Amino acid sequence: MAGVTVAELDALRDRARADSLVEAVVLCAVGTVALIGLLMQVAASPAGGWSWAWFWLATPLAFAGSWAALRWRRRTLGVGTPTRALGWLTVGLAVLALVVPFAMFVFGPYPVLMGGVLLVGINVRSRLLIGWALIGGTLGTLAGLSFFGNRSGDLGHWMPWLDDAVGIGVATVTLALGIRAAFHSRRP
Amino acid sequence: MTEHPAAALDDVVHQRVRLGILSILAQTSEADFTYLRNTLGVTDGNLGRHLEVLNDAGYVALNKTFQGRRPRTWVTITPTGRRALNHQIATLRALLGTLDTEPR
Repeated sequence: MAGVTVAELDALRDRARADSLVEAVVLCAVGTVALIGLLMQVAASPAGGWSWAWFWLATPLAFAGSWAALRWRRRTLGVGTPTRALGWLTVGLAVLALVVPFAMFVFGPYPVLMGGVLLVGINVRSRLLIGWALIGGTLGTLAGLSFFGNRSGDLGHWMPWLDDAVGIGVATVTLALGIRAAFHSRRP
Repeated sequence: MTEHPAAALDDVVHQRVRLGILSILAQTSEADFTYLRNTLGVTDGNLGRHLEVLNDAGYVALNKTFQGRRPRTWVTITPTGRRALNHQIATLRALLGTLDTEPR
């Protein structure tokens, strides 16, 4: 009886988390922004073009869009996440991007993007968001610092695109996780 | 003699529908009456009664609003309610552990 009850409660929590759409919305938004920006960066390589300006503008917009989508979900389905926290996060990121755009230029977009995902994950107690923000954020930030190309010696010489590949890989996985979460949230 | 884990179960929380309500709210922080009713598969009257019990115990807070001309009741979990749910789940898991280790 107790085992069945605990399993039922876990299933109810999973259902509620999927219904709230927070994981799907945030991961899709962040993954899309990262992927577009990094593809712009690769296309304009080696200078990087205006991709940093894209991240500067699109990062707060990604979270603002997530905030709007989650508010809409709360209104239509009647289940919500504390969107006020996401709203303040958006304001914070907008201010950060405006005040220190150079940081995003130097470290790449991942510290800010994944930092946002981490804060949302902590706020909604999502292991997926927290876990991926830590793993993807670390890999993405190292790629932004050209860590892989510099540290891998000969490999960096033969594969100068390794940092870009890691960055795009993290963006793609982020988007894929978001799509998977959205698929999981479909109601029968 | 140590007390059996079942003695630590909270009667207010232990009821199946009330456990379900708190579990959903612990995950999403807030849900409206219709969402809870549809997800738990209960009637309006049944859900209303359970929400009243949880509200009286201070485990949830009810907020009646209007969306256009339609009334809408939002339910949020309180910190006390979250603690009570966590304690209940821990007790249930302890109970499971007891069942697993008891000699047959």
